[in-house]
Amino acid sequence: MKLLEVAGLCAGYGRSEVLHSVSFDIDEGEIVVMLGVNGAGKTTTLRALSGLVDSTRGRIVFGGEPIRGLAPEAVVARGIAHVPEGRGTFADFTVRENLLLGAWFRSDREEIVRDIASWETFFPILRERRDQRAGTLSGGEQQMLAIARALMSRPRLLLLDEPSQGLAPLVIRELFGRLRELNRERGTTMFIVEQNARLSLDMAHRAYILQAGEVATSGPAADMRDDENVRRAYLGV
Amino acid sequence: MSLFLQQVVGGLTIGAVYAFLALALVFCFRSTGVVNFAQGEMAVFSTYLAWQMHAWGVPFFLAIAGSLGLSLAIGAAVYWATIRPLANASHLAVVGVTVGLFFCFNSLAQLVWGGLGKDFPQILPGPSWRLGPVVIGRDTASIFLLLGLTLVALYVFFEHTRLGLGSRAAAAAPVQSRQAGLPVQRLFLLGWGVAALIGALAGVTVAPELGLSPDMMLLTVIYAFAAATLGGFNSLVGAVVGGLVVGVGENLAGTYIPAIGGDLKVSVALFVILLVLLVRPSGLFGRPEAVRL
Repeated sequence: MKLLEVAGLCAGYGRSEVLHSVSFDIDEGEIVVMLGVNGAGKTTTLRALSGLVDSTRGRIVFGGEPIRGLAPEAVVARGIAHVPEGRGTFADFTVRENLLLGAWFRSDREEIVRDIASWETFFPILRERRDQRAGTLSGGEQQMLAIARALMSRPRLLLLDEPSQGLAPLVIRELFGRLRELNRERGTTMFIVEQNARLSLDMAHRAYILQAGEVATSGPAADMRDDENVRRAYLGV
Repeated sequence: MSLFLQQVVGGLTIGAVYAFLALALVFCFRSTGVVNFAQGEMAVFSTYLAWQMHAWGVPFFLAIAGSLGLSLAIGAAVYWATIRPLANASHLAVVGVTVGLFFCFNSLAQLVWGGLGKDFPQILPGPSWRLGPVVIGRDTASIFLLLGLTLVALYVFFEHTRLGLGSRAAAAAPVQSRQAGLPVQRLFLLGWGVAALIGALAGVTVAPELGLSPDMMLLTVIYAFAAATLGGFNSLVGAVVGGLVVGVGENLAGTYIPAIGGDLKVSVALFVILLVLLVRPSGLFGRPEAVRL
């Protein structure tokens, strides 16, 4: 069984439809990347998954259960965590408070403390900056905090919206390295939307290319990376 | 000298009244992101509820407890009916609604209980204390006692409880909080309820001092805004310090500056608001918000 199955998903803002029948799926343990130019509907896809945008038609089945139409907080509780575009942290709150907020709806206090310690080991910068306000962290540090914050909800699927946005190339490499490690060591399933085709195809197992609100093509990431036609037609690189 | 000291004590007393209402304003702002112009009028309404229950023969402290409970429900209901539908509207729309609520609650109190004042019992009845040349009334003592307890309780709530952390986050970044899995609307509901409860507590505490009438908080809320602004609007301690400073300042200005006297006292509060916003918009204790570019 697939972890996530999306079929014929239509969504948009008010009367303007952005997604026209988008279909894709994700297996447990996979890193799947969705590429596309600005305005293709990548962010809308994520927002529709996590219930922030109303979808009008289609199916979203997560772990065998339909979740389309659930409120965002209910989607998180089912096990889908969303790292939003930009810096997905609470800027006025300390690093530790950010992590606690990620686990807010959990009631297992001891486990929460253990998880914080565990993610502070995985992202050592978070331990160093524990009592610092998130807004004072560098871009890369904030992105790691945003990811750790999302992981604090113990998700079965992690959604990442353009994690490389606004970061220096070196920082992006470091960040993507951590994400790959996360996937390999802890088996975290990820769905990443990106504009940075090269680096994300290096990291992902499979890729979808979204164009004007529809899936244009899909396949193993390695094949996509090496396919001249795909690169020229859809990615502009 | 004794006139000066007595004026300072008088200023502190009235300042504590402002501080109490300012706490409700700041609490509402920090836990829901809304500046509620009707906070004072809702507090008056709550105070009347306590008075009414007491007049019907309910024991005084039970009447107060009943009023606090009802206020919690009324605050939550007001949020649900009037603010929640505006979740995607501009700040201005929300401000407009709270101004409308101001008139609703004021008129409702006049309609039900008439425009004349009512006698409201003291919480700690008994004779005043003398400290050297200064007289300290029981009202003053009870206001300070309850103000201090409320301040500590709210501080602990915001800084040391899971619910407080969630409330602050929901107010500071509602969309992101929903993404993180917080039940934002329920947190706002709670915030409005608790703010109304704090207002009710402020109302019953200060009613013996101010005299219970539909217009009890009409000017007080202006001073409370001055206090909250001076304190930074998101700081609980700032609201209390701000209230005391405004109270003492207003009293001394009224006593020693003949041009101000008793009539122009309220202009002191408005002047404080203007000055703070011009010179130091984040107030004495407020933190400027980090804005992401």
